[in-house]
Amino acid sequence: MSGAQDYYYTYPVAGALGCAIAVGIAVFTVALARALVNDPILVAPAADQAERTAAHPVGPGEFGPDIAWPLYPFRQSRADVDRARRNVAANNAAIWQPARWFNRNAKGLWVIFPIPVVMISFLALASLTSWCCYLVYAVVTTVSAGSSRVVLVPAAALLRSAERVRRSRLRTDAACMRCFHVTPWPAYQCPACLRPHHDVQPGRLGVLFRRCQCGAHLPMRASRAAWRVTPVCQRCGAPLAVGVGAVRDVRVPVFGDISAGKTRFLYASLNSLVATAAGTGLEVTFPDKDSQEQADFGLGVIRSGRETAKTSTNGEVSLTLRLGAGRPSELVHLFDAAGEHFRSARRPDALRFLDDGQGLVYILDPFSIEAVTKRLGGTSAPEVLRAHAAAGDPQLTYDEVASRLRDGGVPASRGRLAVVVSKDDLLRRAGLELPADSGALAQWLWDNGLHNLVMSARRDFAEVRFFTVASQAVPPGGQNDPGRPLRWLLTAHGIKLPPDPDLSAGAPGAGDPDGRPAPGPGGRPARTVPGRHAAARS
Amino acid sequence: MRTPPHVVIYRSITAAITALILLSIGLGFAGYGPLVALHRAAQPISHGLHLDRISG
Repeated sequence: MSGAQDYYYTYPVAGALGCAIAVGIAVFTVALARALVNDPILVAPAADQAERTAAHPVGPGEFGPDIAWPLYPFRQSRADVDRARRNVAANNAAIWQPARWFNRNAKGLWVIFPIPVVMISFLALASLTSWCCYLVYAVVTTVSAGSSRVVLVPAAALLRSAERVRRSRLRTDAACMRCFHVTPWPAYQCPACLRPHHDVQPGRLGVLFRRCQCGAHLPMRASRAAWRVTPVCQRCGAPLAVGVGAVRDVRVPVFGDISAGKTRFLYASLNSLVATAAGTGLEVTFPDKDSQEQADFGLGVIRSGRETAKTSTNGEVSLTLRLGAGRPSELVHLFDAAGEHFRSARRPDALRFLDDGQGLVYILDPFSIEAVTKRLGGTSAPEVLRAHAAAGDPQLTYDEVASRLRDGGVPASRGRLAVVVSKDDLLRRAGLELPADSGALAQWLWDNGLHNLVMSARRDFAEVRFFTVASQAVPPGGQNDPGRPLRWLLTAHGIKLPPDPDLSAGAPGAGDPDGRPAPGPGGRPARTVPGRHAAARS
Repeated sequence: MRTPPHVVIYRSITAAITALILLSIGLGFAGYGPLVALHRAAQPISHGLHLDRISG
């Protein structure tokens, strides 16, 4: 009897409890569905960027965080848990509405019937169930996000370290030829919305790929992004050569007084480098249109033996060439500016390229050395006039540049300097022989009154070598080959160049060992072009 | 703004895991928990072993 009576109570109670639990589960399910599907909080890239900027304000000279979708475990998971919590709380508040009515308007029922007590117990169990379900969801999401972060954070750190090692081993800087800004890696442009991504290092925005705000995928790490999306300058946004940030990048500024032969040397050394590379099958290309045009013009001038035009004071010459092809290639930037700038080198921003040069070339016109000029019969001697000698004191130009580097905090003491005595062929024709050996040439300069220059150069730079170069194309490997200083600086910075080969008769840039001009295009003998090129030189 | 696929995948996974855990808890309360199910599955074997023992 008592057993049957038990059923009268236990079944309804169990049913009521089951219903309460079912209501709790329904409350949670609705809350979760709204939080994840119907009405979710989506942490958009702009909101994430604003949060990160607020947490770590951008300092001067720094870039703000990139706009890309953060990985789910780093931000969105928190937003989802928070949204689910708010929804569960709101749903619970809604189901407790009847209990509030009883409490407010029907207090008498509390005394007469146990309805409110039953209802409150029912609702309490439903609420408890919904909060327990929420707790399970919060724990699952937090543990999932935490475990994902445990995998993602070390993976990103490992890839960043590998990239850092690669960067320092290859010296893969990103140099802009427009603003001369040098950064460890460039920005990479989103292929869809063209928005620059300044930091493609693995992290909270992605480990292998990131998703731009527009939805396009970008590879992480400069070594991958450099070949798939367009690199752009971090500062001015100018497009850079393909592979920038992933390949070795060497910058060689050339400086010297007006008419010392800087531009001539730049083109002649380039001609020698092209000839060396052509002999061994090393590909030399020019990654941008400006460089290609300048190289075509310069090589044409050198190979035809024409005079070099005076470099304009309004612009700088920067020429980029790529040695090799594809991923194992290397980028070389050669810089030149009008000699007027070097007379007050501390001031103009046009000489910004000097600050980031890895090896400098100082062009010294021997006809501007007072002792040499005197020996040749004074500044009005025909040999001196024919050489269009630089007017300024070689020591002053060097001092200006050295002071600029020192004042700018540039560690020149870690760099290399090639002191290039130009116009060797003209000096030889005037009856003066220059020693070929670096030490002997330094001694010759010392003996001719430039002891301060020799001493300062050796003090200011880690390594200094002295070269003599001809003003015309000569075969690579020759005594006054203009390519020797450039090859020394490039190989010193890790670029693997083939040893100087003997040029075949047809190889580009082959000239006479004595410094006579190479044949012009089509095999015709080169001739000096009069006119604007002859009027002024750099 | 369209929800990125990785967010959808993560949400689906966490919701599915939550549902599985809640289902397991519910079945456990109802007497169909994993231990009970294992016990039931192993019953014929243990019964056979028991018969072997008493017959031997």
